[in-house]
Amino acid sequence: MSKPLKIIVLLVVVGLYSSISLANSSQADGELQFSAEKLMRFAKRVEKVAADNGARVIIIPRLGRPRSKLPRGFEYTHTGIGVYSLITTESGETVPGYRIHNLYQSNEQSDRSTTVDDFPFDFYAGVYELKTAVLIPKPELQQKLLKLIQSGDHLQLHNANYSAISNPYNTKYQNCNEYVLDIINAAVYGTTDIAKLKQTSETYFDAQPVVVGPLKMMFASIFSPSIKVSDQSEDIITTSYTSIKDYLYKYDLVDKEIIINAQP
Amino acid sequence: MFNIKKLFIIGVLLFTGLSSAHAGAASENASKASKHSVNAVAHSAAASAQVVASVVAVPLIAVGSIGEVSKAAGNDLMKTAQTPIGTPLPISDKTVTVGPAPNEAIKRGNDNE
Repeated sequence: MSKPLKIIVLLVVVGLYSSISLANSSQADGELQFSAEKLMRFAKRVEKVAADNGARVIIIPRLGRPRSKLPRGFEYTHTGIGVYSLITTESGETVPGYRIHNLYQSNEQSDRSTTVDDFPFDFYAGVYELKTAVLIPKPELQQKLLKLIQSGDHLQLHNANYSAISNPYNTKYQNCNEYVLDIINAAVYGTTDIAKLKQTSETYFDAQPVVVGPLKMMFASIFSPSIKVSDQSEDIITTSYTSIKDYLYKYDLVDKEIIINAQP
Repeated sequence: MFNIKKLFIIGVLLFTGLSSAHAGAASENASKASKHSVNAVAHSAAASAQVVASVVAVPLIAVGSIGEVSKAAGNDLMKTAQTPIGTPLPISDKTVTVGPAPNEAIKRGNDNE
């Protein structure tokens, strides 16, 4: 086989392999993986675990795509912040429960995002595993997060320019996990000055490396509008639930983490 | 001599492989709102009796600290709002979901006219 042919064969193999492992990225338009009843029970269990522990604020992740599709080192795909709230329903009834604050990728434009508040049932509706964590911050951090979210100032931290692998050390793009990290740091440091918060992240927060081959990354960034690499340096880094958890543990800001696993 | 036919076939395969990559992402957060799925669930007969839609939600925390509980809160919930963090909290057995999208809400409004 000639040298050019070998190179092309290699590219084909890499390209095809990339397409297999990169496919099926979003839960938004897919079929539910579990019945309504199972999802309702699971979501309610999460709420009850958090409430039994007296948590006013929780940090919760979910797995929104098959685990086999996750890059190495990632446990979950999305993170939100739950706040114990008084919820008024359409019928005028008031009930206590958790309201989840999220950044979601836009359904219409995949390189844009919006902030969305939903509830545990909505949050877990499209999951691929009935497994999550309830990360309960220390009471001091819960108080500060409540204060920030109650004021609405956390919305100032939203950057609508979305990249699924956004670099948490700069402000060019933001993903759901980075939004949670920015909210946490804004609460801890009492500022919404994003430049200061990014400096803080670079100093104290260990970002999650994205271990993906350079060719695969190149193809993904060419063909997927939600994958940007212009905010990255040599190594691709981003924010994940795991890296947020490790950060909070490292600086003694976690009360406890409870894993809830209802997988068959 | 390089075989042009092989090159063409390989090129087609390569293009096919790369095009497929459009559907995914290396570290996609799969973080879109699952609006359509949830609506479908909420409308299912089995679920509807236990599912209630939210209109407003405010942090349930005591007046005078960092927020204000809605006046709609009953006495028990007012007491809950004043308990220190770490005290077990009540949770409704009902499943709350986000309210209907504007296009659904407007239809409901017309129905009531």
